[in-house]
Amino acid sequence: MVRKVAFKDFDKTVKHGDWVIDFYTDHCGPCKMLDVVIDEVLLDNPIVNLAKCNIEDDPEYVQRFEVDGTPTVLFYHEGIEKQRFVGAQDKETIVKCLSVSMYD
Amino acid sequence: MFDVAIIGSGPAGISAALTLQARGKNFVWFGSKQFSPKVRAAEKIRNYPGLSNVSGEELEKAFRQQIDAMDIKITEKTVTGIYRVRDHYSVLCDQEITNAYAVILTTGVTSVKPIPGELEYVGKGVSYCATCDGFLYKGKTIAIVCTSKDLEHEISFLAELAGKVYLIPLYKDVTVSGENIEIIQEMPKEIMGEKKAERLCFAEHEVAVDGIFMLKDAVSPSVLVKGIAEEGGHIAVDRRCATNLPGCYAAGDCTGRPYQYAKAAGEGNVAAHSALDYLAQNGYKTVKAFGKPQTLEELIDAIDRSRLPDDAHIEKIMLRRLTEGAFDLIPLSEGDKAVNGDVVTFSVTGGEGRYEKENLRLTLGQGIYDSTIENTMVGKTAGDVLKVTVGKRKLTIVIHEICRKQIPVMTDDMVKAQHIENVTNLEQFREVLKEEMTMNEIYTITGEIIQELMENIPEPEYDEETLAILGQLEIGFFDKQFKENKGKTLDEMTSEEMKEELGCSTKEEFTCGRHEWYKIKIKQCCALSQALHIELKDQYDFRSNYEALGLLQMKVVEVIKAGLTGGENYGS
Repeated sequence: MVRKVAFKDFDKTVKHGDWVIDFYTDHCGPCKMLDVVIDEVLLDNPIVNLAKCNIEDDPEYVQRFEVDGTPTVLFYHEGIEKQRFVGAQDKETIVKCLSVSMYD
Repeated sequence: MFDVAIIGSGPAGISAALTLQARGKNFVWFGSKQFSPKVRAAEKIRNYPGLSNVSGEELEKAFRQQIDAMDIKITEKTVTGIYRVRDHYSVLCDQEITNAYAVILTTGVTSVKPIPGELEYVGKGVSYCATCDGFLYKGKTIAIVCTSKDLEHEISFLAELAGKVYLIPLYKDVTVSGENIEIIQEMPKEIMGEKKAERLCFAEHEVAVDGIFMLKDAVSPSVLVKGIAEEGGHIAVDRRCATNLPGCYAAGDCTGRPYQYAKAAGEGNVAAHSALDYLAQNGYKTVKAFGKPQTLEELIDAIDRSRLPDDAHIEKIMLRRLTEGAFDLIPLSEGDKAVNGDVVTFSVTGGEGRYEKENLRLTLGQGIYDSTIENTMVGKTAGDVLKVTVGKRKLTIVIHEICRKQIPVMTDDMVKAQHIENVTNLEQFREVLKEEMTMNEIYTITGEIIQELMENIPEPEYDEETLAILGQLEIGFFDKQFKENKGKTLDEMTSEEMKEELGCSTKEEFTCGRHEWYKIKIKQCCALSQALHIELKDQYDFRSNYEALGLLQMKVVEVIKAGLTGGENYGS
């Protein structure tokens, strides 16, 4: 499932299951690149969900999650942050983070 | 999509471009139309075969003549990232993405090394991208280290957002300034901080910052191309100029010493041939969109019709929108065997960490959990107990359930949940989506065609009087807007209020700063009037109507839409 999530809905949305949290803005080139790569991963993994969080629409995300660069991606398992990275990364990095987040 | 993207316009890039053009390939070439400053600056070159004892300027001239004679175009955009996606590469220029099957890197070497601490704090207070991260520092204190005059517009952009800016210009002739900009003419020594970058340190002093922007016109290869292998500070290549990434080649100074023009030209040729082999082996071929200057009709004809969404694509997007990309997971019937792609729920004992857990779920065949175990699960059914050895661990796995991905059925209720006015069933939603997706692509195509039309006309005359008139028209437009929204015209505002709305304290300052944009407006009006055979008078006269360009653009969109969609039955 892919959903754009507003700050007020965040906790209840990602409480259960495996979520990739994508902090992005509309004018960020690397974010658009990352979208393509994450899309590929999600297509192959139906049990992973994506929460798209626009940090210009919801600046409260920036302080709560200490977002220092765009894009910032978090990996959540059952409501807990297990991994994160900053900047557009390749598929290998995303898969490695997923592995740790889902199973370790 | 292009066959090849060449990044860099020094001798290596030039050589690669000449070779690809001679072989009729559809390639895009990113670089400066001034080629390389390193060529221009050379006094005398004695060892370039064929050109005896030339100056750098003469060599550059020879390059230019050859490029022009072969009708090769350079796209002047700065490449900020290159990513491998499935079977091709996506080249990112700020926010624009260009795709190509193969990439040739001829990016040269830069003498600007990272500052101590720079690489450690990337993403933790250090950023290379003003448009991505500028917003995070609204009202805060930042330092900007800038290596090139060409990036001054980014400095201005950041200075408008930030509260205070320490600017460290590593180039000559600084023309950017502002109330909140303090210039430090010193080389920064180190970036320091605890969990993130907090201080920029110089020889004798330091400044406290919330963030640091490194604005460079050249980034190191490992930052530019994710996953590329380097060696001794250069891109690692074999004798065929191939890097570790398939379809990615490198040539010239960026692959190492000797830093010589003849070596760069040689490698550019080798890299181009390797790229040609790669394209042939994989059967990759794209169609050249635009060649010589053409009429609007010819340009429309040259557009690849498959760019417009067909029924299958529309259905796919419709499904994604209505179901939020979620699949139904249907448990297999008794006796059905698992295949790759199925979702397995299982428990595992006999190991530690992930090998000692209950009720885990995985998607078979992805290798995200464990490839060995996943392979053993293929062909099994719910209720099976497996004994698997992974390394030294002897594991027992119990399969609880196996589910298969199923595409959900779309319903009118899903459409109603979208809350779109007048759209309550699948048929209506499909129509709306088709129109939206088709127009999005048509707008993109329009942008490309307008760009092409602009490149094919000579530069018009720009006189001060016309520029002043355009300034007045724009002010008139803003006055109307501000009167409606804020109840005041610009004349009725204080200079503080004007600064907030326009970024300048007087109307004159504002319109003077807009001259480059007015020139583009004039050129585009000329190009479009020629292409559409419409005279620039009455509502299309940009000297009397502020909306003239907008009207011309809408006309172009109409013509392109008619040309590409013709009747009712395109794309089925």
